[in-house]
Amino acid sequence: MKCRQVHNNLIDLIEQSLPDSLSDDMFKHIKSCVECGVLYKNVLATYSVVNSMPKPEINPFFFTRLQQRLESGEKLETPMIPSFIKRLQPIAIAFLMIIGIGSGILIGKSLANYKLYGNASNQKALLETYASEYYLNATGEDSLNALLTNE
Amino acid sequence: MSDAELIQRIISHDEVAFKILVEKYQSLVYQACYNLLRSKDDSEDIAQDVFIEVFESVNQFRQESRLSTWLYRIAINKSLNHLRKNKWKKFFNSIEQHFSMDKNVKFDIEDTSANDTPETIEYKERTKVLYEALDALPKNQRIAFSMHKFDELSYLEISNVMNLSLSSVESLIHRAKLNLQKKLIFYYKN
Repeated sequence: MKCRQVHNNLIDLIEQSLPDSLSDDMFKHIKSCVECGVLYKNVLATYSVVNSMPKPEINPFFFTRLQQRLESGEKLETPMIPSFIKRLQPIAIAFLMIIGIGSGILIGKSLANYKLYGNASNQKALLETYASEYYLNATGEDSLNALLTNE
Repeated sequence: MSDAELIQRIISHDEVAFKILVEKYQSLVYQACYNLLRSKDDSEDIAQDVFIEVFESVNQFRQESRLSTWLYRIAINKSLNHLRKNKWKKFFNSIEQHFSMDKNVKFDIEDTSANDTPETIEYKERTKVLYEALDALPKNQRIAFSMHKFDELSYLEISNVMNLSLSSVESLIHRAKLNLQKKLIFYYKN
């Protein structure tokens, strides 16, 4: 028998739910293999805790406390509120994302404008820069004049 | 007094009947909560919530299943809800504990005293290892395994509580055992 076979059936061996022949083979291996022997001992001791676990004792004043809670008119939390919040969560997240993306675009645009006109130090310079960009394209005018004159 | 009689009397606001019901089933409900929560205080609070719910909605109990099954189901649902709600709280508490180096505030099971014998210390260590392995199991496997091993419920009773077929419960417990085996072997081999 190989160590792996022992490892695969350890809990069944502990619970005595294996056929006798297989159990016997496993015990033979466990006796001869030190590593499997130690492992079996440890897993057996830990898994056995499941059966030896002491049952927790309940507080003797359990009913008195319960009665107090009932008399004080304490109501249980209605599960409606968490489920309502749960349903709203994706909508709220989507809304926040839209706001985030929208404000990102706006900030990006204003930064681009700032780059274009930001180096204009005063009002006049700003106007000149803006005008030269959009209205007074001197170079363009010159080329048009030249074209007309040539014709 | 039978469970059916108890229910009828509680519906007509008989407090004595409610007291009898609580005394009859408090251990069962508390144990079911404790197996999932592992804290005496939390288990007591949740067990009380279970009985408050029973008191408030007893007329919704259709008596198709046994009363104990109904109580189990409520106890497990409430314990799982509590765990879900406290997941983040626990996470932040553990960080706080880690930084404040206050290792005394932990699960009840880990309470150690100076008078502990080496055997007791070893038992507590093994219990901790087992609980860690159990906590790492998928939720349904953990519930089914705990009910079978700690509450000693039959597969049929578990199938009623969990609303699953008998074969699903068998499969859940089988997989739980295999996973536990894997985790324990991994722990002791490393």
